[in-house]
Amino acid sequence: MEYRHGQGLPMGLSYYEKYYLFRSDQSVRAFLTKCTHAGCRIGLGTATTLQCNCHGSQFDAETGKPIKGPAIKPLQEIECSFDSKTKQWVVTMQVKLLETT
Amino acid sequence: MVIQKLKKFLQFDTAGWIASSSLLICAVSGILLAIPYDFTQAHQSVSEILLYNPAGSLVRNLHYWSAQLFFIFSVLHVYDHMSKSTETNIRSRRTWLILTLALVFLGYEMISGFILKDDAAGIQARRILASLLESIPFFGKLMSSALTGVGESSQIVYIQHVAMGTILLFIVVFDHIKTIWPKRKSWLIVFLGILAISLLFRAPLGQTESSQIKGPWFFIGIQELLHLTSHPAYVIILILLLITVFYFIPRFTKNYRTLTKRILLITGIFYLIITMVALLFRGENWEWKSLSENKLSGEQLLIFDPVNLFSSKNTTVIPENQKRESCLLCHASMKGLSESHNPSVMGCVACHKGDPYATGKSMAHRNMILVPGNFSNAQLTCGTQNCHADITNRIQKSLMTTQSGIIAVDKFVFGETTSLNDTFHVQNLGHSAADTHLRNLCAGCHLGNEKLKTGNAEWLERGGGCNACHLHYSDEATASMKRMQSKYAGEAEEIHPTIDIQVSNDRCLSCHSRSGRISLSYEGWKETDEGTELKSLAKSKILPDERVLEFVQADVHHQKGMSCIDCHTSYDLMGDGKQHTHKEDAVNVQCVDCHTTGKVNSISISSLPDKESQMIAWLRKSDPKAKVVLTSKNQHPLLNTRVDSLDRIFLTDKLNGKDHESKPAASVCTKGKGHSRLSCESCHTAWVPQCIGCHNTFEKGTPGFDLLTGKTTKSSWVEFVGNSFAESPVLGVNSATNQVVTAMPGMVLSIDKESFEKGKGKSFHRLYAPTSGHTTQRESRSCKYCHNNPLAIGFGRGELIYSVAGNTGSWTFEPHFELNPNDNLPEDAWTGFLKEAKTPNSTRSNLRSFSVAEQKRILEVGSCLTCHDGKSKVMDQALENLAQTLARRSKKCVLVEY
Repeated sequence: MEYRHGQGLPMGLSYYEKYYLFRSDQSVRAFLTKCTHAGCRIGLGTATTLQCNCHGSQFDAETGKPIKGPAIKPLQEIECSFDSKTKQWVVTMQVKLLETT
Repeated sequence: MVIQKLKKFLQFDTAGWIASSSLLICAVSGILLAIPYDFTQAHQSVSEILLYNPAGSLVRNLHYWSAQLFFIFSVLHVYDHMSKSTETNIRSRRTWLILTLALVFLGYEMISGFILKDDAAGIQARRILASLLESIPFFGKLMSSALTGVGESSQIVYIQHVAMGTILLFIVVFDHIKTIWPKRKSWLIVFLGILAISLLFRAPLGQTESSQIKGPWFFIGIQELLHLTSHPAYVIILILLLITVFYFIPRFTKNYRTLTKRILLITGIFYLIITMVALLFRGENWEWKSLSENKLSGEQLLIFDPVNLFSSKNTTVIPENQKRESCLLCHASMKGLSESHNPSVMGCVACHKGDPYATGKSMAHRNMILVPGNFSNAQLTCGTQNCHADITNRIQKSLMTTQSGIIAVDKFVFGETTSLNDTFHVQNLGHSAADTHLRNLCAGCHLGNEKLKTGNAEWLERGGGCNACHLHYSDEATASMKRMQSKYAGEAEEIHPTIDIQVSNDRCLSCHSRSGRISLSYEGWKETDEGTELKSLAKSKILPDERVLEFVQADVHHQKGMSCIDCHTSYDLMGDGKQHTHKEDAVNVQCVDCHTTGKVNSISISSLPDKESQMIAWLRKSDPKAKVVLTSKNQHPLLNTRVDSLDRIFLTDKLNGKDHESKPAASVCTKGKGHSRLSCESCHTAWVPQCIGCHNTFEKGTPGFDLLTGKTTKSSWVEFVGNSFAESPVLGVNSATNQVVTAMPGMVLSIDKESFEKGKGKSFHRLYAPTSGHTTQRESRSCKYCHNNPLAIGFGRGELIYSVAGNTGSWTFEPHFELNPNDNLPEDAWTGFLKEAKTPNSTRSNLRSFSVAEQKRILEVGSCLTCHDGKSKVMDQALENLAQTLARRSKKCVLVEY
């Protein structure tokens, strides 16, 4: 399953229920909105954070890292690439593999 | 005798038989409930049962309360046996194993029932259960998909709840007591008890969107434990450990058995305590909240809402997209709100709270918030996480909320603080001389003032949180509200006041017609001296507080049709989240943002940096490629502007849609070095209201008003104003930027502190304040208007005379006003003629009057202007390079010598 977003994608955080996108000057990153603590769906916190309303965890939207417990693992990043033909950002619900050097 | 009979009646049977009676009622009511319940639209179908199906609602209550009783009495049954040590009577290991597993089935049956409501808490509970099961090694995924399903569908949970769980529980009961039929008398008593509870108390149902998520009451303790650990697996291990221990109890020796049971009992008591604490005091985002906060925001455990068995409402057609809330049973015809707040879609509860599933008026209106948007309830209404949380957070630091700058200056003149840059909050005012002064004269203008009744705010009813700007009653809405509040509402159309971002100037006027009076000035009005007769004025009007206004000259932006909100964005008005000290720090927009020379600072709609701007652009269907102006100060977008490919700036009025092209600053503004330090306002501000000779005294026995509490006071600070003028502003220097800026008398006053408290004495201050006059004109002031004008330079009103004697010139100044004995300066002066000012002489630490050197430089050009016209070639050259121009001067030119 894939989801497409045009170039009108706003800067910062855009929330889409199952995942969210964070657009910065350089890139667009996609993360699952599943809390890494106990599996709740996280919602919007502030303009740059996400909030789990089940147990209180908070995550930094840009990096997906937890900024308040009980969660200690970062949010799962998923594949998000730019399709230069359609000029769209394509999000697949596949977990992004860690880049190794 | 009676007590004994009652006791005997209450002990009609054992906990085990009560539990089995409850199970039977639960199963039968469950079969009946399955008819109107639709797991594909679970929440909607349950809502519809509650709203439109009283019999279905009763069946649902029976199902819920019988399940609760079954759970409670099953636990009591276990406790009963344990306390009597009769568990050893069960010899068969198989039977004990089945009983142990029954606890697991019971837990699943209870939680799956909770999940099937499909409200926000139910949905999250399914996700947590799935996640916890998945974390079990090897079997995890299989168990998770078997018990919670795959994806977001409730189908598997529904099947397992109605089939597997129920069947297993009946098998266990049958295996345990060899029948599923309880005694007739016991069953009847239990049924009547449950029926009574079900008729009176509604089974809970939350909303689909809620930031307060609480599991079922018996799992709240587990939710708290999960909050306390970063590793949910520990909680699973703990539960498995307790079940394992329970299984082995009958096989322990007597001593170990007793010890284990005690440990289990203590664990149970501990669990009950944390359950109670979390149940009562955990709120939104699992944060600690007070009981009252949770009462409004959370789902209640025990909801008194008698089933209306004789309902006469025939709701046959329910619009597809209409929110399922009982409010709309009566208020579905409500009109007046914009599409963003359409009650048919978002319901009423999101703003007004109350009970969305109670069908009776008084029940539905319980805990209702009549006036949402006050800061006391903004977090629960306008500022919930899914709505405007960002704004309601940052507005708490806005100067319109804190009044920090006003308080800092007032406390400074009263000698209660030594810094003009301390930060304050109006809610923290005490009862010192300055605080009382503020309470009597200033503390009414802040957003935290509560709006307590419906209808448009009266002139002196300032504040009201979000309502201060965003709530507006049309005449029709006012009439509708009066009808609704009367006993004879009838079937007339209901019209809600509008809630929108179309904030008209009159919203600003009530507060900003005071102090700097920018709202009056912008529209061209000046407040007249007390006692002025209307007849003597060419054009006048009277404010609701009976102040008489005289028309002077309106700001050019007002003449063009622009409103306050066309320049001042939400970040100016509602704060940017930072704690600013004074208004000029908080205001973001500047003239140069729209009247730009050179490259325009712009941003495309698709790259807007903040959520709020993105939302507004989305609502307005703005072209993602279009560019808007970005303010140079804090890089905030001005969404009512657009920048075309030629870098021209256009501005559209937010209220009337009128389009304007915003012209760049004239070439003279940037020409040469002569005026490089001037702010736009220093030349283009036509006039500012100026008031001098003010005296403040505390009059014991003169009734007053505490604007903070809204209560009358026996004594009060009283202000005696002196003369007021509408003239060009005084110029001074912002020492932080070295820019020439406009100023006006801020705190030129004497204070009789002795009248408030003996021994405090009297004080006099001559503090000028920075001003943004809001009387901008396209044509700037003339050269003479600054260089030869004693008022502009800071000397006050009077005659500035240039005399030539031989080859030398000199300036003299004859003030119009008498010298004030406190500092020997004319009443209306900011600084002495060719004298260094004594500091402090302004309400800001970074504002000063012109130094003597600066006064001399200004007057040097002024001496040229006594002969040369300001628009002459030579003065134009002087603007480019004064030194060169002076070097070329003719013999006729006589320069000033000091």
